[in-house]
Amino acid sequence: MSLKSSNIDWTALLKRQEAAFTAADAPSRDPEREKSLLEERARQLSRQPEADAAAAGLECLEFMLSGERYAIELSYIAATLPLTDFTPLFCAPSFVLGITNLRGRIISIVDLRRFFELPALGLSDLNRVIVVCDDRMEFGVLADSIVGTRTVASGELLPIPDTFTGPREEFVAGVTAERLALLDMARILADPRMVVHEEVG
Amino acid sequence: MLSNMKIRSRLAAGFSVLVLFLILIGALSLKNIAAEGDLLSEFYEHPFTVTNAIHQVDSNIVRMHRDMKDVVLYANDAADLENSLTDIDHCEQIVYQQLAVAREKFLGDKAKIDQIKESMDQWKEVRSRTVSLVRQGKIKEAMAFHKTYARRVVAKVDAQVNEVLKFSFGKAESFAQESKRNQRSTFAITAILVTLAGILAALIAFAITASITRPLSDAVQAADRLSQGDVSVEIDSNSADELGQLLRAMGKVVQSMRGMGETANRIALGDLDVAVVPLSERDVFGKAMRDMVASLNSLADNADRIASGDLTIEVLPASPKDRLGNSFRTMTANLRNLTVEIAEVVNVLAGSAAEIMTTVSELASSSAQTATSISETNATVQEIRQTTDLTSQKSRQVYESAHRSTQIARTGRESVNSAIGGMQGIDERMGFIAERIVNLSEQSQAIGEIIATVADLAEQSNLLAVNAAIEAAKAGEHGKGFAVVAQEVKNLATQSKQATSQVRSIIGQIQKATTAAVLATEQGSKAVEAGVKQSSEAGESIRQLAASIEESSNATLQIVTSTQEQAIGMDQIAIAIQSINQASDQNVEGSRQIEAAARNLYELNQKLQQLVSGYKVA
Repeated sequence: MSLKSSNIDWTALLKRQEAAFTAADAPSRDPEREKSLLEERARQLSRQPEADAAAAGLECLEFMLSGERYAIELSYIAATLPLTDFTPLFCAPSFVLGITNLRGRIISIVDLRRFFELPALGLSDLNRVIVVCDDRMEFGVLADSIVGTRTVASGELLPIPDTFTGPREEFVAGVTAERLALLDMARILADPRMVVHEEVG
Repeated sequence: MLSNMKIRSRLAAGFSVLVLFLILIGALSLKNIAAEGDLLSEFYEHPFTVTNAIHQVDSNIVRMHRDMKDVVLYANDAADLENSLTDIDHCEQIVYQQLAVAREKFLGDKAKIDQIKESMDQWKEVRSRTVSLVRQGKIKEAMAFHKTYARRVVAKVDAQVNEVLKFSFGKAESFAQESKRNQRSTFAITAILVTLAGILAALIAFAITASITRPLSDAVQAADRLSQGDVSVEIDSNSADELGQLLRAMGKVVQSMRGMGETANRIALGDLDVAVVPLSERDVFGKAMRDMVASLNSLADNADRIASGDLTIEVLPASPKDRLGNSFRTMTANLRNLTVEIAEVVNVLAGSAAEIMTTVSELASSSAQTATSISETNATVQEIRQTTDLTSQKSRQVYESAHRSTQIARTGRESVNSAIGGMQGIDERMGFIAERIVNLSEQSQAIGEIIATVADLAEQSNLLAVNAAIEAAKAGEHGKGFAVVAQEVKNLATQSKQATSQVRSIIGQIQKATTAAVLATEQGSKAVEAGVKQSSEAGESIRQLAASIEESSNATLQIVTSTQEQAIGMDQIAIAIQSINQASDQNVEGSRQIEAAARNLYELNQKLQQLVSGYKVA
């Protein structure tokens, strides 16, 4: 028993504890890490001019929807917001999830999957709303997550592959080589189905 | 005389006498009955017939007389006269007829009947005169005539008739008296004869019965005595009849039984020379006696052979129930075994006697050796004495060292007790450590919650950055710089989020580690418990060790005292060895005496061997 207890190196343990405490006291004071972060940032900044080379591209917002990547032009986007709570609407088409309050304005929320008549995949992580608008129309589009803004070069767009069938075929402007589908937002906003006018007796 | 006749002849003679009497009585009775019958017929023939005829004569005479009166009286009437006259003729015929009968049968004087006839003839003349007178019509003269003569004649006839009647009555009387006499005599004779026959029958019966029963009762008495085994009874008879033969046969039986009894008595007295000859082929008793004598003789022969020392004979029992034969066979077998065993024992005894002799001579030599050994033993005892002193010193040292060991063991027990106390302290510390670790785990949980808040903030920052980028894009060329800032903010938010996820995984590791630590402390606590148990067992062992050391130290003390006593004992042994020396001298003398006794024993055994060899066993 005495042999076993002697196997524990108490001094090493205490040293490790000491090191942990000191590390906890000043975690951000690591010069190496700061240095690496700065270097990374510098690298990114240095890469920016390359993007400028394709200035003719479109400014887009990339987001995820049911595991697929989509993009909307920034010119149509008013804001993004988390989906906190919404009110379901009766007698509305199935793609209209409901309405929500955006800083005092009532906007409707559209589930593009239903609008594109994709197979229903459950609610998944639909907790983001992208508010799109033009001169006549304004509504929110549901998204799983928002990846961020990016620039898509117009030459980068490829023709629509055969897999894009159904109603969404006509609302996709193009697909990049990275399988990013750029939505034709002007057409979606102008679609007459988006205007719901139904009277219930 | 009777006893010489056969019983059948006797019975026949008796019965013959009785039958003779019966015939005599019967003949006499028949004769008397015949005589009585004759008398009766005679009585009927004579007095009765005569009386009867005379009575008729008398009555007809009276009738004739009356008719004559009628004739005289009523002579005027011719018819009447004729009727009376025919009636008279008729009566007259009957009278003559009857008179003829009476004269034939009358036993008395027949002249009297003739007189009556003469008188009747006279009367007839009278009557005819009268009738002739009447017919002439001279009635008065008829009447006088009739009155004069008729009356007289009729009276005369009447008197004669009465005389005859009187005689006849007298004759009847005499007949009756004769019959009565005859009856009386017959009765008397018959009665006498019957009485005589009865007496004779009784006498004969008594005589015959007596002649049969007397010898029979003799035979029964003799048989009774025989049945009780009394053969002294004498039975004899001179008579030639069957009972005589029976008695003589019984006499022979008795004589034969008497002879058997004498023979059996002689056998009982042990005289086996008797010669028993069976009386016949079927004399069971005689044959059994003969066989018995023969079997006893064979047994006696066997006994003689055994007596002469021949034990090889094999006695065969006459039957499975032959007790004597079986006993004899068992006896011979046992004797045979006994003799064989005795022979063996004698042989063994011979060997033993020889061994005893050799042993005794060895004893004598060894006694001398013992004497020398004893002096050597004395020297050895002195050496042992010195060794004993050495042992005493050593044992004292051992005692002291055992005492020290006891004190050391006491110290060891105290150490073990303190070790147990330390272990218990460790156990408490272990509990404290486990509690602290659990506290740490709870605190890391709080950190996790804070991290969740930080992640949420990062997410919101991310969204805000996206909105800022959108606004910058709307601003067009002027918003380019702002777009870069917004991108930077977004990067920061992303890094924050990554950092939070790293922190979350670290917290998870910490919680696993704390769980492992708690389990380890629990095991440690159990190990401490086992340690406490083992320590207390070690304490117990040390205590027992101390006790046993104490016992050894006590034992050592006893060894010390014992060795001192041993020294004294050694001195006593030296003295005893002196005594043994003297005793061994005496032993030498004794062994010499034993040698002589053994020699005697050997000679005795030689004699016994000779005796046993006299018996033939096989």
